[in-house]
Amino acid sequence: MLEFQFESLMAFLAMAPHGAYVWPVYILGLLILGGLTWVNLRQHRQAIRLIKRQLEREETHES
Amino acid sequence: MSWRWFHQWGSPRWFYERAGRWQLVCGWLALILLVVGSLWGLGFAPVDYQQGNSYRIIYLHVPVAFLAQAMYAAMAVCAVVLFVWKMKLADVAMQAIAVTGLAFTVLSLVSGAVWGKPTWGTYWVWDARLTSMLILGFLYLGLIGLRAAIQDPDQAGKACGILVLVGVVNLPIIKYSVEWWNTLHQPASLKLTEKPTMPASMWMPLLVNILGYYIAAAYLVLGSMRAIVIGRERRASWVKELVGRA
Repeated sequence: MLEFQFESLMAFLAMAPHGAYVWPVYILGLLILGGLTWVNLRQHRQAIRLIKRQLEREETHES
Repeated sequence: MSWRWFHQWGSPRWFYERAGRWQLVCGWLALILLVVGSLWGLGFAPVDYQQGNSYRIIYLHVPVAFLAQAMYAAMAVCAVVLFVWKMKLADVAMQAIAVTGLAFTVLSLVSGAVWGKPTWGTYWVWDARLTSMLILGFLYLGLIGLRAAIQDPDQAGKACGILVLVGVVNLPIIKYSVEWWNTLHQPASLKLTEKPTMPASMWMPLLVNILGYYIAAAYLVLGSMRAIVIGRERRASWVKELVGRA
């Protein structure tokens, strides 16, 4: 049932005559999913950095 | 019946600790499903006899369009939970879903426009389905803007909850737009209640990708929620303990 529909890898990449429509959509999808993952990680790291700084300030204030 | 399973969601600490593990599972599962589903759809599903290879955009367009709407519905559920049970985590979820939902809406609009060019001969028409999806995008944008404009998180949560519930009216409009009005957009490709109009070799990779994108959305929302929770709870002793230990 699973049969590769293209004659070669080049034909797959060209996806004639619609490669110029299909590939950019998938690349944008990848960028958006990857971008959101990166934004979440950055936001998480920033929050932790902020809390660490706050803890350090509290420690110096106590001592 | 014990309501413990529900009450634990009231604890940000409980959520933060567990969500990290759920996120890891969702992330890997989504990656595997999306790689398999996309390669299957792009390379192994048969060519469409009318649309040629351009129809392969379906394997991204349909899942993200489903999600754009499902995420709005999920926000509405969160808004109800926030108003009825005053659960803070529901507000955190609303905030996280708004950003992810907007991203999926943009992706669905852009992928649809690109698919429209070779199929309809135009990127955009002011047709009922496309316009109601655009309004969904503006609703998400409005929610993000509204939250950014109100400093107090509790007040912002309430205001966003009201806007979310008002905007729910758009969901049936999107769903039935292809039936109520004459539109260029085709009716649903997959329905829960009917046999698919496509052969199995075409809808099976679509099903894999729909599942993959749903799990990817869960991964993204969980990640965003964890970042928001730890930021909002920065003065709580459990957060200080956790960060101090790290």
